[in-house]
Amino acid sequence: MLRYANPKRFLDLSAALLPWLWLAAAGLTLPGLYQAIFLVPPDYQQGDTVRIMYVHVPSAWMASFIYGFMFVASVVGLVWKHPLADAAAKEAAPIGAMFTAVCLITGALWGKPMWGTYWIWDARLTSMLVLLFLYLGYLGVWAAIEDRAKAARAAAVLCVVGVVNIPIIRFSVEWWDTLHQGPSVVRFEGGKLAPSIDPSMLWPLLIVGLGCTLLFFALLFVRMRTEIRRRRIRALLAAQAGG
Amino acid sequence: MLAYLAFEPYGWFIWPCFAVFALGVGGVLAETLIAARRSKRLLAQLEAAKARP
Repeated sequence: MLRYANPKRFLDLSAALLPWLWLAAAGLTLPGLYQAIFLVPPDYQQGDTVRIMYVHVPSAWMASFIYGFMFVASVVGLVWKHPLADAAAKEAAPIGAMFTAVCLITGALWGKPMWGTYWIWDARLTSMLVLLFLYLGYLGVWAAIEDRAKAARAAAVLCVVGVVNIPIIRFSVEWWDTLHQGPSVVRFEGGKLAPSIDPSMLWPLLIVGLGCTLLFFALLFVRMRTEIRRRRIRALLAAQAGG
Repeated sequence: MLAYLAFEPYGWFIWPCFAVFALGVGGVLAETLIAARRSKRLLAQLEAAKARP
């Protein structure tokens, strides 16, 4: 894995993978959303508002997954000082912040007709809001510190400390009495992980989720390639300024 | 078809969710591609300037 984390090898590998990633991301997300709008039946309790699940749940999955990805990249950056690890974490953050914001807004829009309120300070909603603040804080650290090595270290430390929020998000609905429902896509039953929604509703959700994951990697690769070019630009400008 | 897509009485909550998702993903996608194109152009200019005697 680390063999491909060499910037030159990363550029070659990502150039080869990107067309397939874009194709697969669009080829899964768009048909998945089509199914969510046109083919999925209304829920017996939620009615048509169940369609909101197809943008809300994948956004929630991506918000936590991307933070986990940033945590791993930050640890690699702090421990091994790998040149691409900081770039990977930094470029993942805006995508994660976007998915977190989409999750919070779509959750609020689902909450109004189902709970009677857009917002409540329950553990799941609050921990997701904390995740958005962590993303914004992480981006703020990068923007505020001019020395890139110091910024990378400070942002990585913030990311590592903030990862404690991820299990809180995951288990908040089990640890506390929340208005947000408990795990309702898959559940542990009799020691086994079993889907708790009908396959006609589950498959489009999994398809959109996988599409969003591939979309994340496509966006990340393009952003990391841009960051590598920016480093080269800074080096060339520094050389010019130095005479 | 239009009656189906109205998703009465919840259409005013459902469609904004899809719009927020499209705006969020579309916004990050556009920002990513624009930044990539700008950096490519600037790097090409700087490398051309460096190659000049």
